[in-house]
Amino acid sequence: MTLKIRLFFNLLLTAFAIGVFASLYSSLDISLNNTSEFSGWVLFASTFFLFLYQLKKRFTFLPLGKSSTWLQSHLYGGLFSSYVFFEHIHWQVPQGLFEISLGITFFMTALTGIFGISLSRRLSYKLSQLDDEIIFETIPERLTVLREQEESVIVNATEEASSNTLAQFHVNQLSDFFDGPKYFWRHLTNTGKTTPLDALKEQERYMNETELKHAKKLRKIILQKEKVDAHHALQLTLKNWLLIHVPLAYTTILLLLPHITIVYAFGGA
Amino acid sequence: MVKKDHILTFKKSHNHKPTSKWQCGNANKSCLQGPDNRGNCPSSSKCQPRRRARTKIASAALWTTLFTLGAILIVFSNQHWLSLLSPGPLSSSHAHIENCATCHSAFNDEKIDWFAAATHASIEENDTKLCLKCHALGNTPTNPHNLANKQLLAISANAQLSELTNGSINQRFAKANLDSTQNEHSCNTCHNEHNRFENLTSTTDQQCVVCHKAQFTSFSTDHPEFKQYPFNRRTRIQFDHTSHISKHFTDKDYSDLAPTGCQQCHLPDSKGENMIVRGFDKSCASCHLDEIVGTNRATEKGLTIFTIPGLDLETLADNNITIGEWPEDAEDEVTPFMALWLKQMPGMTLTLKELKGIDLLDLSEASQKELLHVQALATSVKSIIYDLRMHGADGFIKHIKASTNINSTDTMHLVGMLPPSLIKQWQRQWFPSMMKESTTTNVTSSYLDTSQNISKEKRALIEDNDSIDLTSAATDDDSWFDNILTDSESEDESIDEIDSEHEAEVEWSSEDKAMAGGWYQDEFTLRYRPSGHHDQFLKSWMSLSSSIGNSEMNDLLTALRDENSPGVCSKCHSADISKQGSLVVNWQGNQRDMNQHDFTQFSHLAHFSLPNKLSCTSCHQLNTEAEYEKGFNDNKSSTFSSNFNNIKQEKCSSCHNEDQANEQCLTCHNYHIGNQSFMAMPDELTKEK
Repeated sequence: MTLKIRLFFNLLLTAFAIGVFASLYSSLDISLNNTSEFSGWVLFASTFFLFLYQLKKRFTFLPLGKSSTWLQSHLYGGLFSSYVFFEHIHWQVPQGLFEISLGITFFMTALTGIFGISLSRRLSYKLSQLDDEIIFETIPERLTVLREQEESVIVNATEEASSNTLAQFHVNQLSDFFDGPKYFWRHLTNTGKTTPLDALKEQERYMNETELKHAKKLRKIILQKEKVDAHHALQLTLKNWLLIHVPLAYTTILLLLPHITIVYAFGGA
Repeated sequence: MVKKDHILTFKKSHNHKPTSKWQCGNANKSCLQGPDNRGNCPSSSKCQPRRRARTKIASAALWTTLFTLGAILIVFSNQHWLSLLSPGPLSSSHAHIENCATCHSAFNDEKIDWFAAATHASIEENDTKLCLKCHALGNTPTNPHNLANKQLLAISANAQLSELTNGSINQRFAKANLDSTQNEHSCNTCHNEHNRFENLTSTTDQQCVVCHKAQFTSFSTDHPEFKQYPFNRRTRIQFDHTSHISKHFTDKDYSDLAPTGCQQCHLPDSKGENMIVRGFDKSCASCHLDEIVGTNRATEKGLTIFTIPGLDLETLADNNITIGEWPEDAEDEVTPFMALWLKQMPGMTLTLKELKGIDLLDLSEASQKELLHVQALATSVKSIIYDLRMHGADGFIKHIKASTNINSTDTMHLVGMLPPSLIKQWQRQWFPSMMKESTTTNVTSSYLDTSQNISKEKRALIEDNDSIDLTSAATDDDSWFDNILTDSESEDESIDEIDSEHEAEVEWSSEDKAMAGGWYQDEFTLRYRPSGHHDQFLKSWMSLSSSIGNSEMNDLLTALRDENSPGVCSKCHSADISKQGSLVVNWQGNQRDMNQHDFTQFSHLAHFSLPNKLSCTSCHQLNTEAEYEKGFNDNKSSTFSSNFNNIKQEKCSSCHNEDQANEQCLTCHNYHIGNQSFMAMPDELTKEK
């Protein structure tokens, strides 16, 4: 099943679920039933289902089906529960501090979820466009290796060419560049300022033949560093958006409990 | 082609296993062993292992959970912070309520009990009871439209049955889904407080229609045709618009007084809904006031209240029936007012019954028994006159109170400021020896003796005054009654003669003198002339007689409502038969009770804001064929023929449709039907939270 067919099928299924819910909701509303209760429990059930994905990830050893299936269910379940949420609040901004807090946490959870999906799709594609596959945890070591290589080239060039053009360039530009992951936003958004590679090219007109030979080696190392930085920026984002999404999901689940209690204890008037 | 990362993989190092919580913090050279589960490096104390992303997420989730739980506990444990749980401000109608427990029965429970309350099925019922503490919605407040089951069944039986027309699939599903056994609804079925969602009273048309047998989709397309709208009864004030507009207003004698538009007689009520009549003074007096006070009346202008009945004295004398002093020329009959009084006296009910249909002026064929009844009647009439003479209005009031159980304020209106001097004049003219008779005959019956608290000395004094010299009657301890008796008597003899001469010159009758209204004597009778519109004496007697409804009162009411009776009240003020069978006189036109809610409402005022588009006659068109007056032949308000044509639904839907003015059910209809008053505000409302 191609990605497009899967997307179409899943969206169709979600739209059908939303249609059934909307129809039930409308008919219950017309027949003077408590639609808030209906939409509330559907929302609670769907939210709990979404939360189960987190548990599934925790207990990977349990035979609960393929993780990719869970992820797809989580994504489209999230879309469905977002619709139910807006129907539950009657497409209006909630009032009262508690309800506003609950509304915001749910809304932000959904929003970060959508943002995360968007990132997963976009950044994964960008990662696939990079030639190398780099494990995130190996990046510090890779950076250390590259820094050592760069320093070696600079030392050799300075000794062989009896010129400090590259050494000066190292001090001014490359020392900081190789100090750690750089240009996070440029790699994430493909926009930004001049790279060290551009600066190196500008410096080449001041170099002699020997230095130019070493500059060529240096260019390769800088390119490697750029790739590692890109991996770092993209992978860090992919991993860390969950730092917002998951805690918000926990908060939502927790706030739901007093919400349900209050609604039932005081909902008679 | 993506190159695999062969430099270091998790297969070669524990440090890079994705399931481990920590990773090596040594960027220069990571060891194969890697940090332990607590984040400690087993090989070098200088190495500071770092959390993996998933560990960071779990840690953030844990701290967020703890923070949220703490916040919840703090809010729930602090009484002052409970307001944070409120789902929003109250609507303006309830904004004055400060105590949550006023509406929420569970609020005063312990917090832990809120969880238990949330599972109670009775919570809605309890909270609804709290709503009803302020909102009085009748005996069946949770029934649809607050109507009793019997009324609902009756309405359902009369409903126009039709299939669901163009309703959406949701409507059809909702109709099928409607729980027909659920006949009661709590307030929150329709009313959402705390400004949640829409306004407090928002209800959709589909919600209105779903319960009804007559299904339709919108007012302009398939709403059932109106039935006799807006008239569901005859008018309370009998006013024939057709005859007035086509005949009287064009009469050259009255055309100058005729109104030039509807608004000269009608104006909207305080809510702008009903059109009420401006009142007699502004709408009717210019033509009809003379008719009420009797200025142009050919017959007597006052209502006969007391009279000396005419008796066949000759026959009585022939049969040795003694009745004492009695005017020979008296020829009137016992009035309904006197009959009412007479029936309070012992044996008189039987007497009046026996004498019913007998001509008292010709007793030649009367039996001895009937003659004795005539004697009893004459004695009782004298008792009335004696009582009036002795006590004036007070005697009348005591009698009315004894027979009706009404309060003092009402009785004051019922005597109409009856002047004692007039009674005295009447008594002295026709029964000059009454006081002497009272000591020798049984005129002062046991009724008089027991019902009147008057001392023997005082009576003797009056008796002496009547026969000898009235000027010396006053004593130190006399009441107002005694003063009234004496204040004019001292000069009576001398002044009477002068007055008679003057009256002869002016030639004004006592009736004409009483043109401003009130009591006057006309030969053998005491009459009351209406003082104008809203005469309290006539109004009070009509209201009293209609409310009591026994045979004596019915006779009295019939006399008062006679079309030729002075005051001509019944010419305009119709009467309806109440559920109890008594007549209720309609003293006012349609007066809307602000607490009374009907199924249909219409704001005249809102429609006045449409200049040059609508006039009164756009909707109210005269029905010149209607037999309006015939509707008043009986006292049933439901049998009528209106002066105006019924308003058709198409008249309203010409504006109230999808494109123009709104056509929602609640624009014209009320849900809560019946009398809805706002009850006393509970104390809790003003207490602190």
